[in-house]
Amino acid sequence: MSASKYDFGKAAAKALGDRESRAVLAKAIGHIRVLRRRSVDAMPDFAERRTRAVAVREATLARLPDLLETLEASVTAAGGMVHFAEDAPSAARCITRLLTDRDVKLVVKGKSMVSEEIGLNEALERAGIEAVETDLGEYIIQLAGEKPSHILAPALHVSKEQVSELFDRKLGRKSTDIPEMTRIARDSLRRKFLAADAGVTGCNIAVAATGTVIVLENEGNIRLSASCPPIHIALMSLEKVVGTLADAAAVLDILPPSATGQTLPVHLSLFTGARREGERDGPREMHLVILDNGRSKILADPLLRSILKCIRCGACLNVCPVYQSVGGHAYGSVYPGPMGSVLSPLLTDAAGDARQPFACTHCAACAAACPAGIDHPALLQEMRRRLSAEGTDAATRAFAALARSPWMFAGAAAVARSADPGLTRVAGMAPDSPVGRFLRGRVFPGLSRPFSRRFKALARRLSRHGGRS
Amino acid sequence: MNARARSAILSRLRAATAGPGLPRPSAPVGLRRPGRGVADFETFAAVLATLGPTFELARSAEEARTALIGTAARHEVKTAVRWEHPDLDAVDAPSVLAGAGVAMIAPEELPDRVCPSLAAVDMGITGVAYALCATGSLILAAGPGRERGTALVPRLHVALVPRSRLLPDLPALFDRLAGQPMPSAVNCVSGVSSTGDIEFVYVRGVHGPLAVHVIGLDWL
Repeated sequence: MSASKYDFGKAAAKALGDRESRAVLAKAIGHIRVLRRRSVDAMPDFAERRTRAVAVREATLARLPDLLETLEASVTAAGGMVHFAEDAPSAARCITRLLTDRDVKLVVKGKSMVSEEIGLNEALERAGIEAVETDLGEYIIQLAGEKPSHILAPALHVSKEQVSELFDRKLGRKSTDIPEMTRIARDSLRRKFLAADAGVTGCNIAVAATGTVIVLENEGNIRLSASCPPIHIALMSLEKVVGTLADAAAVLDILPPSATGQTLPVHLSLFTGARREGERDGPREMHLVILDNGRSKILADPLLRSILKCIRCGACLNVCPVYQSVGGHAYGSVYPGPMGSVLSPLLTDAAGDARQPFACTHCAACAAACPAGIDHPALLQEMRRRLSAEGTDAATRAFAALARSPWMFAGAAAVARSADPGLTRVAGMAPDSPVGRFLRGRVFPGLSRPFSRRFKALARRLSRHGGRS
Repeated sequence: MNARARSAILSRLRAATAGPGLPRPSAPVGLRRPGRGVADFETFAAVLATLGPTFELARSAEEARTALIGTAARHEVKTAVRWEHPDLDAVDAPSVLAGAGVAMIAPEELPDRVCPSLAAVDMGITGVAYALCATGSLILAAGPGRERGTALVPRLHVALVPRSRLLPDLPALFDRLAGQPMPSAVNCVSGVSSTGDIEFVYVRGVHGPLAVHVIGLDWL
């Protein structure tokens, strides 16, 4: 966890001030929640599905090195090639080299968060290779020169007016009608699919026993990217592997309902190696790039390793009050929201604020929604503890010292009481210094009567209102 | 470089899994409801109808031939590409369509790069390995004479589904798949491709075929 220049606080404040973006975000999140209610909440056996999927994810962590070796052997036996990459730059280099060695000029890409993590598009651009994102949301983001704001719906923050303006400017096609704009994207991307020299996709699940790469999508762009070009490169982070097809089925029981509220997406594809003897299409070469980027270190950490159970469904983002308020970009890292606040600071390369674990209210809605059984707040708490142990500013240290001693705290509170009710106003005028920033960043509670004296009345009011103040 | 990364990553993972706190691998997780549940055309057609494709049931080879000719006419099909598949032969699909004036492309006539050659073809006609009733899914397995592009690039995909190929659901499919060598590609297609990427407005027909028509073969 290294210090970084990115300031989540500033970015969040800016996002909160943007009314238009907040309205688009609120509408999108509301929509996702309805979908989830109709699927997960309507599935009588969801609890049982979840138990089985959690068992599979835990088995993956317990046997990770063996599973990866089996996966490598199976992919190789099926005519594919496996490449291990230590970190983001070496993964990007590996793929770039595979493509330049084969004189590839045009690449079609299926949506992949790991591809964002390794900065693949930038690396390919530097190598003079045209890489086209083919998921509609990612395509919009790429045309706009932005970054995804949600791990599943990357353009969730973009309004249809903005898409319309973008298509007019970049593709020279005018339309404000959403189905027509979708058709414009289809026409434009179809030419790319048919002409591409290679397709790069992510991987939702890899099956060790069979060497199968499983991908889920609704649009069909991943299926085209992996089927039409002569080369298919699949990119996965190493924890996506499971043992058998039965294990994959257990994960598939929970992934689409938690992600998009579907029982199955339109396209569920299982790719095993390259095209076989006698087949006329499918890639002649299939490569699987397996990325570590800090994950093996996370596995060695007994208190934090459970984040590797994550299946990237996005359910935690959709229920998080912080994510819903500030949106995905404010986090400044590849992975936003609760899962991102745990994962991003632990990865070797994932730009953002190292203090991302503090962007959390501990409401635990994420843990309740997580189908993989991850307790995000507990993990974030541990990360906060470590960050504090690394050192913090003078004011926080002073507060911590006070809080540890009851009589010193009571004395300090008495002083603060004498300054109330103007405390927040006074604190707001504090000079720009470490202590000043500590004071200005906080809203102080009413202190004129000690909490111990207010408690009885408060408890009475709570019981009258059924536990709500 | 790759070999060094491989051994470094695997040895770190080995050290990590040898450490304390990881749960011991539990007994293998079996399939949810393997192989049970309903598998009939009523269930399949009802789910399929909610996903975009159209469906008609043929009770004889003669009815299936009529259905094929009707479909080609309805969608103004001039050219079609087909799979080499016993279920197509069972209804004489290639010659029936050719007889109705459709220019048929056989697998062996396809050029080296299949997908670009199909860009202007109107229809792809295939069989299926299985079909799943709970989710209205067509299971397409690639192989010689069963090109991936046939069901993917033309604007219309027509699939022939005999009753004997109906399975209840995904666990039943994975059960079957586990018992045989995996084909290079297995596509489980549930409906017509769709997106909600612009303001969550649901649009059908993004990248795959814009229309999917399924003809059930009740006697097979």
